[in-house]
Amino acid sequence: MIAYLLHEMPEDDRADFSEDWMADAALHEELRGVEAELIDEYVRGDGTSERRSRVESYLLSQDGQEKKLEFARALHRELVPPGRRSVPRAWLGAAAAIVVLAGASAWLALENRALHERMGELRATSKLPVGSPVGAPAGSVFEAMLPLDSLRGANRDTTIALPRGASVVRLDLEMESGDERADTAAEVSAAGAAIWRQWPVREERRGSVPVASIWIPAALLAPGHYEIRLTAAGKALAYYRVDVTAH
Amino acid sequence: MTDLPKQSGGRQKAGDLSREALDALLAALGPDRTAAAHEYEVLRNRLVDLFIWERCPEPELGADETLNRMARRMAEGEAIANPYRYAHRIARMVVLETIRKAQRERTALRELGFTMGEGPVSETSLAALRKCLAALPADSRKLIEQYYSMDREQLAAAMEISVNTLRNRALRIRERLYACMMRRRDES
Repeated sequence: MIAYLLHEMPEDDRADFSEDWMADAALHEELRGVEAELIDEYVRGDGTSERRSRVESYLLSQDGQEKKLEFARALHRELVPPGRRSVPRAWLGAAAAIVVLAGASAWLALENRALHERMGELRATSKLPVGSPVGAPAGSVFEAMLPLDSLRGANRDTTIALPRGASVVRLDLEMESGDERADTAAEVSAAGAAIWRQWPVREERRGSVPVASIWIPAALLAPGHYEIRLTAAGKALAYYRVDVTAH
Repeated sequence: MTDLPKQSGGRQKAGDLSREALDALLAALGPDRTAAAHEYEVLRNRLVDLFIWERCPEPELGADETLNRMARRMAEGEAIANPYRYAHRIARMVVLETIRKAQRERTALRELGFTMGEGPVSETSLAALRKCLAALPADSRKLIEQYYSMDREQLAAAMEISVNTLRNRALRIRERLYACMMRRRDES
């Protein structure tokens, strides 16, 4: 279907396929779904440059198609959380440079998977503590790890120094092995009042350690003390305490 | 009496066709006037998509021209087994003519200035979309929000359905939202 929509199949085959979907309501609906996903992908900034170029040429250049693009952009703006939105490529370039030049650093501006995985490898090998900011490019993602020893009742809180210019904070919460759930939720509170909720929370294993990741707009994290609670099915799984300071 | 199907620009189809041709077309599409009018809209929407995906300028005009030719031929007594396949054959001819005409007139297909990534969205569109989201049934709204905000495999697993089923459900809601947003945007 993608090959049909992006004119990547021989013309005779396209003609045969178009006759089939014209006569088949389900096939037509499926094709519209694929078109919608291609436009969503384009709006997210995903896909190769060639794919994006073909979407522009074959799906977005005709009369009326600008409405579909406008709709996809509005949907993306309204429903996709900031942490999942595409990051301008200039930021990714800055992030890549930091990885290469600074080596293991506890913060990274990251969005694509390769950088993400690289970060996990670096942390696993270096056992780095939480944030050691070196100044973030404007609009970047600040990432910090809250280790298991910051659980409620432990002796110390974790302190992160939020670099100026960070727009989103990603907190990786180390969990007890066996606490992973499909429906984990997170709540961030300040002075007893919830300021941010996320559901579901993505969990993954880094080596043998389960980690839950939450994304928070940096603007919400003024310097102060915060408590984070992980729950599943109404039951508390873990508490974390963190002090945020400005860098 | 059921309204006659309308074509682009709000013109009544009968303005371009004889009554006989229109009746012949509708008779081939449904057993009664209401069913035929519905089927006419379905066929026309598919034709518009065909002209879009063939990169024809003014897809709606292409769809209307196809339906007009189809109706005239049927009024002349041409029998058809499947109106959709029949429409496709005529549409292919209209597509070729349209592309040749565009080349002859050196009319370049419209090139748009694209903005990378999210791009700008008008406040009117956002406001319309928010109203449409608010008007959705709660379960539909929850599903579309989750579909766009979380990992789809994880969501499908949590809902105990396949990713494909999840995708189909989400895309049906997306289509409804699209129609709703366009309607509200045009009204404002």
